[in-house]
Amino acid sequence: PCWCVQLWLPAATLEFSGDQDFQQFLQKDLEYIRKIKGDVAQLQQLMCTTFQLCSEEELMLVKQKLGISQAPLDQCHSKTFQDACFSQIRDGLQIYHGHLSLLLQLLPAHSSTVDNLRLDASNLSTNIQQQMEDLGLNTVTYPKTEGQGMLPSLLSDFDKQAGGFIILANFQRFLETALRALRHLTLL
Amino acid sequence: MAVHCKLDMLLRYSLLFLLLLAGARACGWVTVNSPTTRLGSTVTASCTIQSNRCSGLEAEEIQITWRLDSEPMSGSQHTSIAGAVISNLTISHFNRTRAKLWCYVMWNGTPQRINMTEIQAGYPPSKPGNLTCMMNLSENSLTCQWDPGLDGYLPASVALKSSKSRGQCEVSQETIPDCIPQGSQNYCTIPRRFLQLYQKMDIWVSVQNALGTAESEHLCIDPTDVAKLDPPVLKSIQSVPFQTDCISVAWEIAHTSSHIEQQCELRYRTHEDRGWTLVPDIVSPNMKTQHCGFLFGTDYLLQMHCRRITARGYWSEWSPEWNFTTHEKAPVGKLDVWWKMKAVDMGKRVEIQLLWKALKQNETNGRILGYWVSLTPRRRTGELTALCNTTKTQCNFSVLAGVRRVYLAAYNSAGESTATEVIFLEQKGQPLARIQAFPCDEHSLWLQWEAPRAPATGYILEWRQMSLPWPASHNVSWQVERNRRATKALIRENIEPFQLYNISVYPLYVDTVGRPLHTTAYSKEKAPSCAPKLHLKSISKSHAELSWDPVPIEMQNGFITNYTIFWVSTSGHEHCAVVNSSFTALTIRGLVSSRMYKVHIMASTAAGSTNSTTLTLATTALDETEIQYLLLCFGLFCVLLIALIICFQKNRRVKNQFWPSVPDPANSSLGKWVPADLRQETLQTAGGREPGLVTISDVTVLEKGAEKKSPLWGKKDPIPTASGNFPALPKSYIHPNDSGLPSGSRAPLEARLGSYMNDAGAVQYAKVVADGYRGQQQPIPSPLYVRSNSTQPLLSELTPSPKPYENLWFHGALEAGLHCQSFQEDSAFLEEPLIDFPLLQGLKIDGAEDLHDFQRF
Repeated sequence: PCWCVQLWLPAATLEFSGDQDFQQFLQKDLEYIRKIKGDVAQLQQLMCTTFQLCSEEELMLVKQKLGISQAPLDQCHSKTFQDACFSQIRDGLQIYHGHLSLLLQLLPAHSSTVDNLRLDASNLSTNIQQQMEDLGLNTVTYPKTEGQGMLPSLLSDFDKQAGGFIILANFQRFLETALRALRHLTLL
Repeated sequence: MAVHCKLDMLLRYSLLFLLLLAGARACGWVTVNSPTTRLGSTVTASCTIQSNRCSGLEAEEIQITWRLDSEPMSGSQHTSIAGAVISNLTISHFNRTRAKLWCYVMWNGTPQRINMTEIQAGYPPSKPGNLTCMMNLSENSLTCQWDPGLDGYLPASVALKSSKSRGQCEVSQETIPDCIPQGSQNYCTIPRRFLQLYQKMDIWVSVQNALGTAESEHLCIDPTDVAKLDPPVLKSIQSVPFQTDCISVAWEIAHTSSHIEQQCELRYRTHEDRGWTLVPDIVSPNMKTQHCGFLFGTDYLLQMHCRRITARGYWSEWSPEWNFTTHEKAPVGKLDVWWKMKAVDMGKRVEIQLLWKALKQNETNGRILGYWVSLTPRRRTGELTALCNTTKTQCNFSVLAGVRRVYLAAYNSAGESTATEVIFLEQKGQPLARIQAFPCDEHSLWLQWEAPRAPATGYILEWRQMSLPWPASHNVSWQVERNRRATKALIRENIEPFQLYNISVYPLYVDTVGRPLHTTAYSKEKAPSCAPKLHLKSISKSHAELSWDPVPIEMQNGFITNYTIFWVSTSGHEHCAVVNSSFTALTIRGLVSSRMYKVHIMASTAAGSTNSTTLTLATTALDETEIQYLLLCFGLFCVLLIALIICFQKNRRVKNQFWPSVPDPANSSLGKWVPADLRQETLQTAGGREPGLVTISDVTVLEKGAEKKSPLWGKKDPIPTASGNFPALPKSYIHPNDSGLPSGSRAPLEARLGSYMNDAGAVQYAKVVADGYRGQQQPIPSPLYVRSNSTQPLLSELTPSPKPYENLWFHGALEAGLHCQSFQEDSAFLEEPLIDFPLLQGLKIDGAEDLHDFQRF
């Protein structure tokens, strides 16, 4: 698979970590991620009460069967490619923005909550993109692997409900990783 | 696609044709240069009449008139080449926000409305100001409000515009649909879906009307920076560590704002406090904080609110109130005390009233359950040693005369305070040099004093309300001034306006208490509630002595400065006299005798006066002494008169002393002229006494004398009715048995005699009465003294030396004899001289006839 790197400005990695704008940017993102995490947890609770789907461990086989994968954040584990991490967070948020549409079908009574969550994911993604541009970070566009970001066709209700639950669990984990990565950056 | 274009063209032409057709068929139409214009600008309009299209107007001469609403306007009319009649109108200063311009044509004498156009006027919209936005975290919506500015009087469209932006809004990323406020609201809410959270947005207000557009200043904000957080909730409060003045507070933040790092504020107050005590800058991720400085055993109300720690934004509302009572601790502090002592039981014991002030709020350390007073500093078990155990702040007890000190302590549920030693010092110290009290406000008084020469350790200020009835008046209010250098203090406990306070100040010395100095004061004065009631103590013809009771203290309402007494006579002259408040009586002098006076008193304070009811009094005609003198004179006169009468009666010589013997006219040559027949008669009459002694020869001379008398009588008594009595005089005399004298004549006679006697009036005196005079020839009276109302002329009034024939006394005496039938002593008294004067006798007889003539006048 091929992947290309778009260079906006000369590479700036850790030098800007002390910069006030960057810290502000991190703080805002951290707060936003915390907010989204809270809303995701609220939806997980709703899934639990509505569909009795409360534990991910019981759905490991279904998860394998459905093939709903987690958005990658592997770059955030590396200490050298901070900008790539931002890019991955940005892309992952876009993926979950798409995946969360499934929840609109599952929880029509809470569509405004789901809508707001999707908007939050989208806004955060946009914010990260803009902030990267403003700060002169390298924005990396990763080539999408086959089927990444696309939900498999879910036929049965159970598959849909389990799919919804798994998406929320994946998203929660994704946000947790992103939060840790960004928090780590604030300490540098 | 081509078909669609053709259809469109066809529709357009059809519409144009219809419009032209409608216009062509119109009788007349109005055009205006601008249907919407600026207020005060010039408006021009024209009305065109096509008379050939107006049925009924074809043959008429067209006369166009205008009206703006109902106001007639004049235009200039002309006829176009095409035959249309056109009237042009110019309104130079259009000052109506909305008006209808009517075009009329005269027809049969009545103006007919042909057409109309509507004109609106106003101003371009003014710039909206003061745009602010606030984000609601529950709905994640952004509400903005603004000040709409001045009214443009024209329909305007208002929109809250916004766009997602970057940086400081230099670059607009994405325009968001306008937010249109409902009705005339000056706020609008942008829903979540149009917001870009954690990113700057450009927000402004645009107002547009027919005359222009105005925009507010742009606001470049991150919606989350202007978030108003939902209030936190207090979860627990406890005293930590135990027995300290610190508390630990735990709270929860609302789930809508749980992702936001917050800065909070705690505030607290007691139930008595009006203001809150604020604990600012509480930043605690674990949502717990600790604060010290709370009072022991006190009820507190606590609240908390929060906001974003970064970018601040808006404070949340305060959390619901949380009640918390801190734990108690033994009271601390020294009690302020004062006492009143009274020796009883022949000086063997002393009754003491001990007074103290409650501990200050920060000394009570809880709710004070009571106070005890004891002879020993430590409280022993059992109540016997306690002289008092009370919840009040005073107690009365009696101790042996030698006891000089007691101990006082306060206690609460946690323990008791250190006992305060009270030493009963004697009041023999130096008093203050001077004190002065003046009002601060209605419920407080300033007390100022001059410090004594000896150094004082403090002062006791004591005051009581003077008008309170017993036993309330027995209660004193007091306070301590601990500042030894103080020379003034404010007293505010139990001070009411319009009440008199007796204030005492006792200086405190190291080993003694100074003697008190007193003053009185009002915190506020007003006019007295009543004025004193006037009493009349005495009155004479020129002065009246008035007295009054002082106004009771409870009615005074202030210091009585003076009393003003007003008196008004019936003639309307008003006088007044001002006396100071120490007077309770006043003598009004210079009154006019026999006159009514209305008197009232006015009591005055510095703040007003009150009038009493009116007392009416009348002065007498005479003074008491004058009456006494008058009575005395009258008494003396009576005595003198009686004495004279007795003297005359007893001693003829005395009479002769006043009336010497007159030569006997009978022996004069005149007696020879008396005609024989008359003399005979006369002699017969007089014969009973001295027969053959008197001869009246002639009376012709006396006729002249009688003529002389008449004017005199007439002069003496001009009353005609009175003159009618005179003829009776000789008649009675000559015919003594004739009792034909009308009794009704007495009163006129009296009136005449009264006038004769002048001022002496009717004087009572003793008379000698002879019974049976009328029926007897013997004229010798048997003397008898009775009281009579006779008005016989006083001797003093007699002419000193009357001529024999003009002696009016005789007439008076005779008339008196006639006047009262029992008045015979006068007759007896008179008879003798008449016998002695035969000529007079003849004159009488003849005079009677004269008087008869006189009666005819």
